[in-house]
Amino acid sequence: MLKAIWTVSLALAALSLAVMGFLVIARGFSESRRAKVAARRDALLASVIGWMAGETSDEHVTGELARDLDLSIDLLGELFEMVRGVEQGRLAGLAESAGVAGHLRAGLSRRSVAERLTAAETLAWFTSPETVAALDRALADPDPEVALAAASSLAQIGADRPVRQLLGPRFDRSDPSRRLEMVIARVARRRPGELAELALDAARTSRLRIAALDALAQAGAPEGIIAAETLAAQDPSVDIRVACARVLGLLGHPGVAPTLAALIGDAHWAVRAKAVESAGRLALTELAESIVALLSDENWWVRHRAAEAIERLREAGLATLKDLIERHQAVSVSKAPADRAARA
Amino acid sequence: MPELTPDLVVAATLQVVLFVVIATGLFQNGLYAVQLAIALVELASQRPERRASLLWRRYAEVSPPISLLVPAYNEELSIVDSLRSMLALNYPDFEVIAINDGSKDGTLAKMIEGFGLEPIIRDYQDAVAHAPIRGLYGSAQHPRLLVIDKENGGKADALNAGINCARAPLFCGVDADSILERDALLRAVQPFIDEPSRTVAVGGTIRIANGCRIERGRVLSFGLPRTMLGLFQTVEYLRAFLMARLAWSRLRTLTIISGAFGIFKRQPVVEVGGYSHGTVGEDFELVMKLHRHLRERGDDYVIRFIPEPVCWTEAPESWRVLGRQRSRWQRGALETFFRHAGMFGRPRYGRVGTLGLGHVFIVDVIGPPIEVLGYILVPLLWMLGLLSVDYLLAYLALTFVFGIFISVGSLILEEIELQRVPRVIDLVILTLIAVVENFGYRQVSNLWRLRGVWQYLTGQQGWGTMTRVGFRRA
Repeated sequence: MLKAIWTVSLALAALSLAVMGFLVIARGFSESRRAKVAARRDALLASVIGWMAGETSDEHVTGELARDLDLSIDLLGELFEMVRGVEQGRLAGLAESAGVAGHLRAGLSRRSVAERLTAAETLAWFTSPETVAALDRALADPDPEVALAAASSLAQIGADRPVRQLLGPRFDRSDPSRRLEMVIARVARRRPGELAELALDAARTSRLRIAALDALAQAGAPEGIIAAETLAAQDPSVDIRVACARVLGLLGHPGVAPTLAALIGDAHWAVRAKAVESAGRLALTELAESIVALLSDENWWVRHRAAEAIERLREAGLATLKDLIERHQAVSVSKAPADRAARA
Repeated sequence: MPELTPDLVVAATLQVVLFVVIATGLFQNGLYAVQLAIALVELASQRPERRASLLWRRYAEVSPPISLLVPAYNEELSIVDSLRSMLALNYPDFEVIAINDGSKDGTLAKMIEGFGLEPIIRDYQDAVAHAPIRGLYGSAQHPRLLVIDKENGGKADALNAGINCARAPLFCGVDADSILERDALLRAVQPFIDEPSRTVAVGGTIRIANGCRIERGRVLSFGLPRTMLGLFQTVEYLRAFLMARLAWSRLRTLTIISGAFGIFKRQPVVEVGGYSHGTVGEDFELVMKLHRHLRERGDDYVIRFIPEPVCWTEAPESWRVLGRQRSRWQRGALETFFRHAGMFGRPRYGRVGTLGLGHVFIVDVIGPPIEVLGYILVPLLWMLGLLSVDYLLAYLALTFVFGIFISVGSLILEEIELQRVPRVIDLVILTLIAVVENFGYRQVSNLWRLRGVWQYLTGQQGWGTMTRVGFRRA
């Protein structure tokens, strides 16, 4: 046993040093390779920029891109972020004809999750039917991040799909990635009715319903007001009622004052805080009295948001506050002789 | 039955002691080997994205806001550069809250001058306890920056003040003398995006900045420290972060997130009362409090470590200062272990109670005294002819040779998966250091830790002073 400890330790130390030696040698080779790749990348970038400026022919730049597709994907991924509008479309067309998009579509079925994820994300720039079909298939990817990235890319491309189809099994998962919110936000303009239905569906998870409400608010969809007003009155979930208060404040319809007034009186502090914040944002002067009353709420956040809201109501808020103070002082003064008498 | 002579008793006692020394060493090294294997699996299964543009595209839309909390005590030398680098981070929504913890030097004046700060009013909730705040400062030119000036109360106290003033659902504690890489937050926030409800805290890697080219709070290029002590610490940090934390993270038993760089959900931290006062290991203590609280509540949660987001820190390059730091760390580990000893081995606390605290027990509680005992006993007994060569070799293997395998193994992990050491020559130097550190440095380090044990047992408090030279300019 004692000898074994010595032998095994020695063997492991020697093995680790041998592996490290091999890695050092490998690094030496890869460094020179890296330098060559960097030089090729610079040359490719110059070609593509020349092509965008009309100085290089389509054939030349297509050939250059096709020579090293992985490098081209890396380069174009960055260029897509820098250009906008027509230039983006031109670049996508160039990449498609050079086989870059095809290479990415093939990347969706690679073994490495990282490669599939990059492919699913980068394909958002390509609108061809082949890409849409490949992304549709990727919705069933075993890795949830890849599937959500594919859904997000489909939504960005403009492929009109039901939310349930885009989210697949993630639809009912209790703790999916925050990409879920991104996917839902991207379909809000196209499918506001579906999102409103989703928000109202008590059988769905709170995360999903709140994401639907927030997406409607971000899209400025009136369906969001109807859904939030309905849920604010009846939903037992605090998180949903907080979302309703937030959404009503963001969508900014003056007709929501009665609903916000009800939420200001909610039993949970988080709902009251969000409701009073929204009332302040919409400058609902008719709620000034209820807002001022929250200055003596038991919760710090409610009092804080109420103070902010009063500031936003300007004259109306300050006048109500003054009125309250005067009434309070009058009560104190009228009670003072009685208190003194009681103490005596 | 042989007669029980004093010689026989001494010999039997020595046999038992030696057995304990060898068994502890064997167990400790076995634990390291397992960690190394798990870390390799974890690194292989992760998908670090090197391209910053793709990272932004992937996470920017769904990244939750973060409040960066930067406690500063006597940091006039580097505070402005540090804050500038933090304000320039690549993250969509964040605020930087610098907390001047009653500095005796010109830390606050430097910040006021450097950022054109003026006194401001900002409401904050007294959610966790801290020393009184003297004033808040802000600047229209830097709307993301808030400076809190408070009475001295220590690092934990300063962080608590920051937690109270933070407006984001996540906060990130960063040492004022540290430098975050531009994409560090985007990388570290990944678990909060992938598992938003379950993720409670995420730690990132700390690396040694001594020797790097630094300008205005940004690391321009990697370089190795120029002193042996700096180099030893570089390998040590690689081993601690790439091996131990990564492995425990995979097993969901991570018990520490470095105070120099860690992201936490604010709400659960408030629920456990924020950072604890009266301990020098406030980072370890906070993570243990979170584990205890969430386990007792029956929550499904994760505390993760991500190797890619990097925070650079200045390491001490004098033996005296490093020794004080290590003794303090040891004291902090013991304080937290014994505060939470009730969790040790109890099924209610799952792997955190068994594996997590078991590791702390072996490595931090009994490891240093037993190893030091071995340093004295084994050579002495061998020279007196009371110990066989086999025993001596086994002990040498466990204290010197196996350490080479672990240290070089950590370097292998770094090279296979991350490749953050840019030059081949640096890789060679670090390999040599990974060998050399086992002959001398490790033993001195254990003596420092033993001093920490003594300080803990005698109730000595205090942080000692860290002499800073400031980061080397480009």
